[in-house]
Amino acid sequence: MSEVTRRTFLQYLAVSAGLLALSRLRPPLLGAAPALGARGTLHVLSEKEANILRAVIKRMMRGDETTLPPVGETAAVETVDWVLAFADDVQRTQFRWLLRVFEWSPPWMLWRLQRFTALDANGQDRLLQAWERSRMGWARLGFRALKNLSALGYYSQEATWAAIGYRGPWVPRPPKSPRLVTVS
Amino acid sequence: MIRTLRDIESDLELRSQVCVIGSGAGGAVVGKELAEAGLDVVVLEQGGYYTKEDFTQREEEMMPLLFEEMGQRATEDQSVVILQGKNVGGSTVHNLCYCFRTPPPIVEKWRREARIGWRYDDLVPSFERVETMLKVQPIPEAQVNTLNRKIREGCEKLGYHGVVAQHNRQNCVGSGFCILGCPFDAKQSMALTYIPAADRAGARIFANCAVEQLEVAGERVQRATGQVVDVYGRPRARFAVRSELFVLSAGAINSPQILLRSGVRGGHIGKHLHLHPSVLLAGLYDEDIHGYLGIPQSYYVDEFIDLEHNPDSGYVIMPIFGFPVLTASQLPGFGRAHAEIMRSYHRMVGILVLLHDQSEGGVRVDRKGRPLISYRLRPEEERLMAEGMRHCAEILFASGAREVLVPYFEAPLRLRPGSDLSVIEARGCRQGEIPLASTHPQGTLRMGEDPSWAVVDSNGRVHGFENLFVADMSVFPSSLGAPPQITTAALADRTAASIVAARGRWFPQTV
Repeated sequence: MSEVTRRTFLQYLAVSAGLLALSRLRPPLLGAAPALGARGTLHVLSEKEANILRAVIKRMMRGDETTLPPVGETAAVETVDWVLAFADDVQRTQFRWLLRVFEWSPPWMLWRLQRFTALDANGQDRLLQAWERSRMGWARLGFRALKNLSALGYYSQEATWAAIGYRGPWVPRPPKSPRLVTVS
Repeated sequence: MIRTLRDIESDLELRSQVCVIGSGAGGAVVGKELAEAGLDVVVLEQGGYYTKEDFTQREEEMMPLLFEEMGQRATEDQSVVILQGKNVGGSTVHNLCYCFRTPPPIVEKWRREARIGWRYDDLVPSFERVETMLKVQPIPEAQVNTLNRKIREGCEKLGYHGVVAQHNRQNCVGSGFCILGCPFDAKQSMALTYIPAADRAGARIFANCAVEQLEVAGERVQRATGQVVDVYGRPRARFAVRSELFVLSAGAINSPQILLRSGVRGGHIGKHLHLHPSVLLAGLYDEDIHGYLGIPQSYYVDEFIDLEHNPDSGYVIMPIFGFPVLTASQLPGFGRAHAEIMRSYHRMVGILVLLHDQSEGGVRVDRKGRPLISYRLRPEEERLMAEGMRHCAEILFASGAREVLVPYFEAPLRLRPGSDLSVIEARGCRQGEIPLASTHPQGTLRMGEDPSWAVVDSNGRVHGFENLFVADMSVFPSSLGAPPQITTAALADRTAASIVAARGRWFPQTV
């Protein structure tokens, strides 16, 4: 893990903030919750954010383990997005910020001028480890948030269950998504 | 009729004799008992109303529906996750059905320290009524599943005492999905027992109604006001309920939150939060366990708690198992190493230490009225939990585990048979270094006869208020040291009985 002193952290936080501003990456303030339709489309996350999340889930939950299905062949990202619709505005905004800060964190966590999604697999794992073991509490919390939502997205997919010996629900899936998506 | 968002078209203005806020193990009981006594009762529940058709046994679909903050509610420092129900029936819809009466030594401790005005024997009629309603019965031997049998086997080899518990299930098919709501109506939750009975007795039950504030004038609460919210928490309308008497039953986080938002502050409101914090370990076996099948918790290890001799300390050990999402989020590490452990999911046994905690925390509210939860484990109790973790590892190895995982966030332990287990106590159970969870927050509006020590009196009435009661786990004067469902319901039954007995005080026209 790279040593990040308080001073270097502040310096690179400033650089990251600048990059974010230059790239107009600030997520729009979220107002009303999105109207939910069928699962499988994005309601909360942008395509860019979804791509970051997809890369996170891949390294977080699967790595190079070939007995588990590729993340891209599942609806893991769409499921996280769907669940995020139940969060309040503050939580959703925080998670979107977390994704973008994580994406732009290699410069100040690994001293590499690349985004997370542009790193090779080894670099991506090193970044995850840097967040997991960071001396900064907020980074460790961020890692746990990413991990929890990655687990939610990936292991809710039926395609993953056979590989872990889970037989799944007893009740058949209703013809439509459950009542919760139609209540509003 | 249980009204939900579908039935609420516009702002609501209601009048009733009694307004019960919350519909879990406390509120449902009070609502039913007072309605059957002939009082005009309104029950308000912030969450939705779900029936067996809604329980899809899928984590990603049930967590947002059944749990506060989608199951992500936690202390401010995120070190303890707190699972609480948010639906008609409260946590009884997702709990795992352990049924234990209040331990008599704890009642004696409450009499001694809180000067509560009743004895264990006074509570027995309430226990009996509650247990009859919830159809409490011993768990049949045939329904002790493989996971629980493994833990019992380990305990028996080590000479540790445990019991097969009682539960409130009827005609259980053993699907094992209790924590996601029972789609077979086997779990006798409040939503299936007391709430329908309250409905039959004429109580008006409103789901999706989140109380924000009590309007207080002097020693009386005048109205409860709040928002009608949809399943995403979006406000759809406003409501106000004017009543002669109010009963707060929103749980040990939300009940003090409502009081604090209402400007009722000071004293012990929101203080003395006990969590029964728990930490879990996983054992990996060579044979298939399929821990998610069957009754999740039937065995209960009480070797390390002796309330008769020491009502202020100890812990119990329980079986536990999670579905894939929960398990994956709790297991240590990430990437390929994490995936390799997950491939042993069907050979896994979960076990937890649940602390009878003397440590305390509190509930405050932020500027927007949201709850801020603090909690700090005392060092001696961190050591006690670490001791419990070592015993858990012993139990798992004694029943044949080939590996035990201790999920520290950093450098988790992977122990093999013959490993020196003192390494667990050497690492300890320091808050923030290992996942901690709570399903039993309690004590934030504690009961006692002395207003300078307690928030509510022995009948649950808030000191200094003429017409405000509390009936939920908030009122426990200390950590209970046992699963709380029956105690909560029995105390609520007793509170309801005290209201009925003195009804002329609030409803002179009904006497």
